Amino acid sequence: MTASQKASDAVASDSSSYVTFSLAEETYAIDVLQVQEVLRVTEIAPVPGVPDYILGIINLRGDVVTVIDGRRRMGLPNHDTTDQSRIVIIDVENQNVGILVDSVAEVVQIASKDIDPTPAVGSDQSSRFILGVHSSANGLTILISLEKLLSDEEWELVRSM
Amino acid sequence: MAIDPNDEILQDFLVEAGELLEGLNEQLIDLEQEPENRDLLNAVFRSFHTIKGGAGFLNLEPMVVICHRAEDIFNLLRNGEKRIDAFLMDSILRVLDVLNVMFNDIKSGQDLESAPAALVADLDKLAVPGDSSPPAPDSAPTPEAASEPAPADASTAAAAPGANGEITEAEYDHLLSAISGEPGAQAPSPGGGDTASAPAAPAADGDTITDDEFEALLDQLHGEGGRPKPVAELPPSTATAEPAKPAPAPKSAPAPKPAAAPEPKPAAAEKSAPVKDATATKAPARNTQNAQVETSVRVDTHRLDEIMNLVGELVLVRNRLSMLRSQMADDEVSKAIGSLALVTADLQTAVMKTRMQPVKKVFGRFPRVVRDLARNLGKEIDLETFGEDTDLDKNLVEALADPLVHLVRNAVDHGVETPEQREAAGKPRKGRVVLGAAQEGDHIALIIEDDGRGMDPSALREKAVSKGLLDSMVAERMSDRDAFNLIFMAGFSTKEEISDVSGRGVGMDVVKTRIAQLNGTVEIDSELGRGTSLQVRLPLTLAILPALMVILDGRRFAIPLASVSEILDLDLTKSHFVDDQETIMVRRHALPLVYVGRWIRPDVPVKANAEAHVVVVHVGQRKVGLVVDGLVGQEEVVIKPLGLGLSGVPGLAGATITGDGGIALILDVPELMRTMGKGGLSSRSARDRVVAEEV
Repeated sequence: MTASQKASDAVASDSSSYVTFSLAEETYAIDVLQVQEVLRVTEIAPVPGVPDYILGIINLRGDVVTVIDGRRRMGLPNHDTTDQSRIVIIDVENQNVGILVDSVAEVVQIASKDIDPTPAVGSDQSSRFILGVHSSANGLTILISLEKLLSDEEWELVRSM
Repeated sequence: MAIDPNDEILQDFLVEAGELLEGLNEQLIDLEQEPENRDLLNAVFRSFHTIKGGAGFLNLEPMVVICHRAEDIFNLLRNGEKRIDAFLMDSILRVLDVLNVMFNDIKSGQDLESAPAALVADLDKLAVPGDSSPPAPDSAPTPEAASEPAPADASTAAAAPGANGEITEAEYDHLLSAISGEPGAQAPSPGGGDTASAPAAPAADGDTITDDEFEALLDQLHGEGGRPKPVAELPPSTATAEPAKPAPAPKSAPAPKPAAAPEPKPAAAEKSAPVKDATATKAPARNTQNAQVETSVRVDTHRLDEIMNLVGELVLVRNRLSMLRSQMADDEVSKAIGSLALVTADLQTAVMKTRMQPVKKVFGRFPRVVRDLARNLGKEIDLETFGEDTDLDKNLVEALADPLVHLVRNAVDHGVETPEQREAAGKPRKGRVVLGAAQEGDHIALIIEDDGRGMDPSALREKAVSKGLLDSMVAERMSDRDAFNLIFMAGFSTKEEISDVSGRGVGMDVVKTRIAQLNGTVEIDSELGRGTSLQVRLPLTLAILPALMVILDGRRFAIPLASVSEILDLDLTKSHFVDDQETIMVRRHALPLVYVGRWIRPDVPVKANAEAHVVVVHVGQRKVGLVVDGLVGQEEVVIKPLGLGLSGVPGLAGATITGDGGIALILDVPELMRTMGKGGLSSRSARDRVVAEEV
């Protein structure tokens, strides 16, 4: 096996598809394998007594699915939903969770070698979810991990209540 | 050997043996009550035998080892060569525990550990005719055992030939005496790895037979020999090992298949029979049992759950159609929807019935629990059960098990006194605990009753005050009934010392919460010196819930109908504040008011309306008025768990999809009361805030 073959193999196996979406002018990306579907914003029933980043629940074809406000979770300014707003349904621990985002753009391939570590920006709460950043001609994409989005202490607190 | 839990044969074995083990639990306790019951002895013997057979087939040696010994002992018992005493009973119950552990190991795909050597040794000691010499000091024979004049010698047992329907006593005697010289019951498979598990096995002498050979022999008689004719008499000499061997040959000659029975005997004597013979000959025995249970089909519970879910969806669609019907003037469509509603309702009931299980499933474990506990505590207790055939949703049956165990343990530990105390109080030595079930409409009532010391309401009040759980003023005014309910408060334990039997004062609180989660209620009544009675009321099913739909903050919410007492239209401007709790007079009774809207949207003020809808709900003995914005009506809702991360939100029992495809949250009334009580949402300041904002 030649060196170039090895390199291309590595690239093939180390690159993944990501779904990009925007939140407050920034582009974020999550692993496409975690995304179940993308919905237009439907009626979200608020649930009393939960952290404010949980918007409520929706009826997804007979299943009750929690919806999280992407902006609030990432510590971004609040924003009303628009025509572009979408709920991205993702799979976490075999259960569905929805994230409300400003818009959903496309599916992109990003090689793991092109992912740079998170720039040190202090201990902002949103940095916990960030896997790294990827810069391309289109600008900067922030890769986020959903396990982290849903497994911090607050989340535990909600669960244990 | 690695066990593959997915193996079909293994699965069959697990199901069958699981049922047998469950049955054994009950049978053994019954047996302790009537040690002479031959049917029971036979049933127990057969159960061990069947489990052993299956285990042997699947190469589960440790299980075989232990079942075999138990089987030996019961063989002696049913032949009257041995009597049941406490030590024997304890040992057998330990066998059952060990088997249960093994069973769970198999289920989880783990390798079996060999049976505890001490237990095997005990069993070996017991597998000798005659009375066991109890080595443990605590194994004084129980009264039943002592009073039992069981026939101890073989000849009297033989006087009742054919009583057990399968094989005559006499023949068993022969077979038994053949191995009685070697009670150590050598390990079944010489090549197997279980020799360590039978350390007590004495060196085999020339005329012993191995377990499997004996097993093969039994099967031969059991399965093929049909029903051998009773043997009139038995030579007295058969009690010894030597003459026993030749004896079976002439004895079984009158049997239908004379050739089959005698043949394995010489083979056994030569110790040359292939060890796995036993598993092969097991087949006929199992078949005869299976033939009796052909009318039922085993269905995976997941499949039932799926059907239940689908029916739930169907109910929702029906609800939606019913809503549309009111908008459509078409007569035909209306009729069709009407009959759909009918069929759906029938289907719902039918599916619910398939999920029903008799409460027996839970009750079955209690004789054992009570017996063990009573023995531990030195109490004498009779457990009476009734209504075991009452059907209950499968999920409920499972969910009920733990709370019930707790309540029964409490009755035994706290309720019933020691025999001495009882005698001093002029009561019979033996305490009585009653466990019953009965269906009441769409509810089931479970009763746990004891005739013990009862509860002293004033002691309970004092205790609550001293623990700081209650104001002394409140305590004084409290009715006796409310005082009894204090035991359900968190951190309340009436027994001075903590025993490992009934927990640390968290138990009753947890029990109450668990039952409330099942949409059930607990009521308690007690009379000092006479006993305590607990009544648990539960809905028959968990999946579909009749609910009152209300509007709060423009959204629909469901209040379980079980907790709704009445609906009132009240003028809330005429309310009063009692102890900073908004209250209104209804038919000369003070009704505390709760503004649920303030909990749902703390930022939006809920005004006290001159014409407000108040849903009166009851939580235990208390009644509370929930102020709601609007009423929709009664609907049957399908409970869906809240989404990820929301399952534990206090005050909410779940969500449901409404007829128009929207979502309604289901209020968990008892939890809601607890949550709201802390929030001060009915206080004057909450009200004043509203007034201030209005100005």
